[in-house]
Amino acid sequence: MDGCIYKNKEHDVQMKEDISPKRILLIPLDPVHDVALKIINRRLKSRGHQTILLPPDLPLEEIIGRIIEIKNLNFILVSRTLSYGVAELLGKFIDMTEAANIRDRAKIVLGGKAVTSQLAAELGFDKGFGAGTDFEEIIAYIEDREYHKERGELLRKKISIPARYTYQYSNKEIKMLLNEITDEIIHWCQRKSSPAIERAKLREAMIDIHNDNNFSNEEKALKIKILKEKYISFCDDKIIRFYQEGLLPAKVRLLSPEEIDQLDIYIKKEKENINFKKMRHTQSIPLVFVQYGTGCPIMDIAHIKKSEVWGADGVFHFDPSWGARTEGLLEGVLSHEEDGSIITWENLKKIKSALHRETIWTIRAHRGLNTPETAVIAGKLGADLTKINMVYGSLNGGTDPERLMVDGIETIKYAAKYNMPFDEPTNEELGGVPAYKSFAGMLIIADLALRLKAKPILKPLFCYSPDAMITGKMDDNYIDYNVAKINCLRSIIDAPIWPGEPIGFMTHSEDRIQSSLTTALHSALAISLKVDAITIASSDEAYSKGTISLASRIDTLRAVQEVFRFIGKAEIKPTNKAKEYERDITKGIQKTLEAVARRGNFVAALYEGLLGSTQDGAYPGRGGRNTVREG
Amino acid sequence: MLYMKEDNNILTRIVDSLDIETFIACKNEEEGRMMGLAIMNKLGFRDTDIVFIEFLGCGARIRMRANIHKPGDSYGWLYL
Repeated sequence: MDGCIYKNKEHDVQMKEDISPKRILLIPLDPVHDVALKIINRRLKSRGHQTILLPPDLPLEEIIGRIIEIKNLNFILVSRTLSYGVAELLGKFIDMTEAANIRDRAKIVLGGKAVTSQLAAELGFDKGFGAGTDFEEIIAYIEDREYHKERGELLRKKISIPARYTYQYSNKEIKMLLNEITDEIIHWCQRKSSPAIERAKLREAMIDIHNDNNFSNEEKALKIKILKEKYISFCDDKIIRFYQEGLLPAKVRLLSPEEIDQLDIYIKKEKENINFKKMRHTQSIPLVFVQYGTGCPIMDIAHIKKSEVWGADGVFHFDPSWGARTEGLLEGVLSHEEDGSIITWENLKKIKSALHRETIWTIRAHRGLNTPETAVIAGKLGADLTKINMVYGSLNGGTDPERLMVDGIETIKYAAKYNMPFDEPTNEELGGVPAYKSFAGMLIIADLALRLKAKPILKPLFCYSPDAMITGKMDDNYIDYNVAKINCLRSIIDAPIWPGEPIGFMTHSEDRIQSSLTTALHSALAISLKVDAITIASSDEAYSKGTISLASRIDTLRAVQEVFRFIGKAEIKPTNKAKEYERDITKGIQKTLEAVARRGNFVAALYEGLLGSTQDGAYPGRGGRNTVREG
Repeated sequence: MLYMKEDNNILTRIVDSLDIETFIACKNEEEGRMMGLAIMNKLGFRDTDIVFIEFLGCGARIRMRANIHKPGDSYGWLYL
């Protein structure tokens, strides 16, 4: 085929009527790297152009001879990777075309690695295209039409994670145990309330009034004022001081009107210029989530917008730990100098305004004293997902088990009401609780959620947990035990699975390369297992002395994108140990559920360590203790 | 510090931090760490840290960080 002229008639129909076919000579000056030119050749032919592709590495004299022979050339495309001495070679080529009086017969274009437009012009070429150029850009140049970069946003659509699951149990024994425990929990929580539940109701009423156009602004203000006074009666002193005296907690400040105006301009610009990178290659899952919570909504929005651009499907809001220990939420667009961005209606509304319409937004509500109210705000603002796991939140999140159960049940009801599926993190495993116990807790909450018409998403950890370290389950590899976890859950119930949080927990170091690589490798396992979603860390995951940088966020998004390309539809094969671990975890879950069912009181089981004891590294929290009331 | 549009300080374009990765010839990790911080200081950065250091053989692979904008600051890039 080399050197022959031909025209592919079947592609004539693809050529726009106003673009005339061109005659193009393609010259691979490079001895080996002529792949790009071959691709361009194929595309040009498919567009109906006449092309002549020369063999690689011909002497310049022979090439000049061929150019002289071929009549009516429109373009000459030369490809060559730049290295030492190549600039001289390319300059000589142009000189020879001039000497042979053929320089002006056609436009001469240079392409290849390290080529820039400026360099091409300096060497006497009409145009230059470097590495990473979209082939479409070159074709548009040849066809003398405007180049429209394919916008990545067309490649990504928001999807419902639970949509393809039935939530049917395959393991009937476990199903019966879970149903028995759920019956007991539902009965136990009847007529119980808490300050958080009261605040959630008031917050919901305040938002409804705010959004009700039947009221004048004065009427709204009056009604909200009355509700606010009641709200304050359920708050801690720290929050009361804010509402009554305008005093903010330490290291918290209101953003100025000027900053908010500038932020709006920034959001507008970001939205106008957004162009997504494609994250996945040939698989539609897993969705990729990143966590934000720099402390400042402006910085959060910068992280979110860049995460969107670099291919993240979703983001989730991470709040400060003191927020979980404080009764009541603040108001206003607030910045916080430490990790975690404060949950206020205004902060979340501002963040929501910045999100792309296809970005999945999660607001975690699961662990503290404002759990139901957070779900109300999330629901009212149209969050897609929330996060609830009362077992983790009470055993490793610092909230009293009784209090969090009462609040969590109400929160699950809000999740159902506002159509927010929720994920259940099992991060108690990081404290040392064995996976089978944390899974038992997760399945109890999942079953409870199904009873309350909500949609739970199982979130096992892909981590190098203390339990795995002690028992040696990951001494050889990080694959078998993680595979066992996923397969175990799948053998119990047909439910969505989203490993977190983040994947590779405890395998990251402060080394940027190592950290990105371990995240990427765990994402390879995730795609191989066809899980629904993953949460990935930044490459600053193990750097604890400062905030996560935006560049480190992009590190791992790029690493995961690359590994998705590498894996495609291939699979990672575990060793026989995975089956053995799977059986052990399933057996452990069943034993744990039997013990909880025998106890006959789920909350008591939490205090007594049946789902994670102090020896395991689980400690029932104290936040909100003795605040549950009947009635 | 409030950076405005007319501010010519190019560093205000940095969203959060500036990392420098290099290899330093040093006797041990501690010396490498001290040298890393000294380099950042010499470059004019005040709020700096060593994000990562790995000493092997006769030197250290090191990543140094200068914080330009921390969460809660007034960000120069916001005013562009």
